[in-house]
Amino acid sequence: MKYLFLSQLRDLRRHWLVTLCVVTSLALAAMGIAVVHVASVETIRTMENMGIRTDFQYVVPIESSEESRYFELRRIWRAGALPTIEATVPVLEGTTESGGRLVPVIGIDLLADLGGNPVADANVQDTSLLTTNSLVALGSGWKVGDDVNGSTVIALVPSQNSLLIADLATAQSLLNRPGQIDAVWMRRKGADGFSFIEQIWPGLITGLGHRAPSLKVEGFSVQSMSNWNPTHSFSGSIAFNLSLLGALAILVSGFIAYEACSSSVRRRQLEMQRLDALGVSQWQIRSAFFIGALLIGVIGSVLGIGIAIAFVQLLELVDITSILDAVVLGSLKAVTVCIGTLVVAVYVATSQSERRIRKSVYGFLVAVCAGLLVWGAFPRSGLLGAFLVVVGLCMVQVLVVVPAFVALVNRVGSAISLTKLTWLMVLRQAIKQFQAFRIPVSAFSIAIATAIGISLMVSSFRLNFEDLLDLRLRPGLQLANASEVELGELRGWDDVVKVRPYYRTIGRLTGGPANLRATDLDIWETFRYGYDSPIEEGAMINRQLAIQHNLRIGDRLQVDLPQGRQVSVPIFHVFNSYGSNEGQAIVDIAAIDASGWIRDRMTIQVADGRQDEVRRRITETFPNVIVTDNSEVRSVALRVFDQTFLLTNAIALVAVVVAVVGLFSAALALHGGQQQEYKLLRTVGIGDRTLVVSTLLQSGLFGLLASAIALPLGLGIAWVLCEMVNPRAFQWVIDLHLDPWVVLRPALLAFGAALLACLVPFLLQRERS
Amino acid sequence: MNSVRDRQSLRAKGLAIIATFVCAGQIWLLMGCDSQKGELNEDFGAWLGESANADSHAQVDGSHTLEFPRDHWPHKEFLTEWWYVTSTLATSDGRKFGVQFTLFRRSLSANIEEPTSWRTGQVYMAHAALSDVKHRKHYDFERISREHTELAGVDSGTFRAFLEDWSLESKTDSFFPLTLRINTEAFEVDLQLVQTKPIVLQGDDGFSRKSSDHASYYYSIPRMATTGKLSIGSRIFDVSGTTWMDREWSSGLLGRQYEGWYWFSISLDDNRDLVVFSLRDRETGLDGDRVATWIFSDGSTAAVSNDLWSIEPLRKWKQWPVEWNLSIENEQFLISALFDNQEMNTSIPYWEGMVEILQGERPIGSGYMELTGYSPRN
Repeated sequence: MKYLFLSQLRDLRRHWLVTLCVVTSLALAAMGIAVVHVASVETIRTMENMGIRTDFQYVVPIESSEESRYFELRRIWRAGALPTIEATVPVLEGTTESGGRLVPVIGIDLLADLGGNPVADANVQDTSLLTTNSLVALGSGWKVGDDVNGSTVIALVPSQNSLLIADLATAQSLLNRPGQIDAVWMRRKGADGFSFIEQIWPGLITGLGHRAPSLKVEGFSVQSMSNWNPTHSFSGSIAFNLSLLGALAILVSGFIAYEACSSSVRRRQLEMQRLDALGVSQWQIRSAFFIGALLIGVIGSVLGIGIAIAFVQLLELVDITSILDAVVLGSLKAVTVCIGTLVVAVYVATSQSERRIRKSVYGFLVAVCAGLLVWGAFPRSGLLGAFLVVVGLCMVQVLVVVPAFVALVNRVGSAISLTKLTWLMVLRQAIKQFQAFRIPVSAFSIAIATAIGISLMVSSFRLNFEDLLDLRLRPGLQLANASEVELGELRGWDDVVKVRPYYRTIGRLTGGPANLRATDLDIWETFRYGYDSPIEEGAMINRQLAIQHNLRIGDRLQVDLPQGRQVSVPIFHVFNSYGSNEGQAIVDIAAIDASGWIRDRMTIQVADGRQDEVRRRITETFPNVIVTDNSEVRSVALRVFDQTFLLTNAIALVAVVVAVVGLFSAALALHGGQQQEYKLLRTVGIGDRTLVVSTLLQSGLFGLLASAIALPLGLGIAWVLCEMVNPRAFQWVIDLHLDPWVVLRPALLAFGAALLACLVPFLLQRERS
Repeated sequence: MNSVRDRQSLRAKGLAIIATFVCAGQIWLLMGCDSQKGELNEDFGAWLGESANADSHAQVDGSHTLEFPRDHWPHKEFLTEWWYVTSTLATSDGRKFGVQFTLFRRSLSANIEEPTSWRTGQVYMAHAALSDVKHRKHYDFERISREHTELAGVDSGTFRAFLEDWSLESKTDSFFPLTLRINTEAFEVDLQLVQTKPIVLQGDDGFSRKSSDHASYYYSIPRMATTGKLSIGSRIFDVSGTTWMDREWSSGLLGRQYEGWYWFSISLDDNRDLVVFSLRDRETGLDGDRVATWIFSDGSTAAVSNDLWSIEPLRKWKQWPVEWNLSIENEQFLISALFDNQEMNTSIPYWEGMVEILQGERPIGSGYMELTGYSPRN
């Protein structure tokens, strides 16, 4: 056994470049997994701090707002009629105005689920939340001691959005709604198990489309919490998308490890036959490969984790110290997945019955591909279904497209007759290389295709986003924090063409809260949302609200308002909005009584060339108002967009680099085995220069073929991302724009990378010989 | 029971962090339920009155004269109090069961801003447990709620101490008889408790000194004749036996020098009852202030001088001493748990279970044993 292990080590050392390639590809894959894990956890935590992260699965709206209905439901639960429920918590929702801004307030009975959700936040050291009118403030702009209409902020939680959390008693007092609640949240027993899965694979539950089974309680309407609190599925979708990019890197790395191990097995065939003759069992021989793989796996993944930490720090993605648990778990995950992938690759590569298995399983795998494609096409298969379509396409690439393409190239190549021997050799050698590299080519084409797909999706999304910004941000000024601005005064200014105030409130649709905005829906305003006529006494809603509540054009939008009033207007238009998946409705101001709504934002149309002057005057007259030029908003929005997709592009690039390393590794092995051939060619008088040129041509041809094979898959992935993944994950509809440069850029990258990956090993071998 | 354990395990991992309950967690801590780091908190001091805000509550100074039925009702001016009920029961064919119901009240503050039905400043915690001796099964449950007429509290009219559908209630103004009702997912209890012996005022007419600067008001109602039904799953049992009830309130019961106690309520077959308890020193683990009181068949009581009784643990299960040798005056009793695993897997783990009393090998009575503050290292 010791001999076997030492022999394996010698082999790894002798072919150190190949070993280095495998270690590098693994390190990059490990880095991808660790970075994706940390970024996903950070995304979920940051986003869910915007609102309330809950582990509740059901919500029971109390239409009458009478708290007696809560006690009624609680008695039913305590009597054992809801055995799957572990906790029921009463909730009161509303908004309050503080310092000129509208702030959502959530009041809950903090003691109703005590023990089920303990939190250790050292910020709060007393029980004053239960004994005084006190609040926990989420978001910026708060400080401990702030007075909010008679309640005091006693603790702060960093978040991007403002929210006040209070005990139910405080919320009832703050919102002036004694004896009322709006909803009851319920948590299933055993749901903690899902939390644990989410810890290991953030976003998986969302990706699987898991929802708690429907629950019926006589006399009550029980609804899924996902409609009530869409943030969780939104952040989960982002995490799930990212994690699949990480999975791609490890998949490609697995291909490389398999290829490296296969070539090692081929090289050492004679040695293994001798060992077999000496009575060494197949498992003993294999175990040496496994131990070698383990060694490489540990080195590669530890290196990868180091790079990941440096990467995260360099890009300032997260503050590692604040997310140490995720860093540790992500690192462990990276090590486990890398070693696991290597072991599987080694097992398959050293399996005697590999060919037999491949034949018997081939048909099954093709059937699985077809199944995935068909199943994923159904919208009900959710986000996971959409990604399984991508997996299915990749499998088709590996099982059908690449072999068929190789066979085609072979046939075409054989049919071509060239008069010049050198050119014929170049062609034959390129075809031979293409055949020999079937596995690395598969991995390479998947990685390049993914890069093409993601680039196309992102560029299309960016175009859509720019179009949307062009519409929404028509020339003018935006005023925020503008409650104090007198409309009449502003309208009297010479250079001001039109002042358009926006009124905001949060209402309740059956099944969840809805952000309502009211303004004059004239053609100027509706055009901003892609509708080409004015809307009178009606509303526009965003696609998120339409999907969450199954609303269509022509339906009536009925929203209960906190003040006890109701909005009921027809829906004229459904518009796209990106950035979050919260439902939003914009109602014609003429259709509602907006008294009590918050009017803290407005847009101003200004006479040409007078923007700066009006802006200066507003700032001087109303120092608390935040004035922004729409053109500034546009550039900021696009910058945020580009930053958002920076990580996506980076991880896709990692997969490409891994694939290039794989090609390099395979080319090393190939050129290593062609030493005798090169010697023979030199002997017959073919010069070094000719050999270099022919290898360059042959590598170029190879690169061209490898890039060409990735193109159709790339286009397919782009289509799935735009038409299936994004709508299912975020309800974002993206029109696919086929920008040739966007397609060509990764393809050219692939061509260049393949060229170098094949040429450099030749030059290295030539140097050696 | 398992779900409680699962939750503790998850807490230990620090996984469930929910912004909503930021502050509730601290309330939890104040109630002494600090297990967020996965460590069992043996510090009953925090639970029983050692608190920063204890001073703002009324203090036990012996000036209060106990009066009934008035003092069966809560004393909200004090920091904490409880109604503690333990029943030793058996079916007609001798199958034994033990039932425990405890309702703890805790005042969060003596000064409540704008009191409403949802903000009274009072929090209740209830523990319910059943010991099935035949199958050596112990079921325990815990509930916590704020005081609210629909959720938890003690009614001001006819006595009813309750936390949702767990209740100890009276049908008459004279307090007795009482009905104990517990409904959990594992078992149900419906028992009638009838007074057979007078109320016993512990210590000096109910003023029970625990150390030089800590005391409580404390009385017991021993040997209440008990009949009723209990069910486990679909099986229903007619049971009878006796019930012991303890009532105690304080604003600082346990000094910081103590980490817990052992406590026994014993009903002997010769109609005598005995209560024995001792606080345990935090540093040495040895007995601190200790009490033994006989309650004779006619209801008269006699405190036993400390030099006339001694007690020593004989056997441990986990950290809990589950078998004891009690030597009191001229009698020797072996106090032995009817089965070992009667641990309360509640926020604060403790041991509360049914014991039998033996002289030699002869059973001569039954009772309940309570052990708190025994850390696993012991």
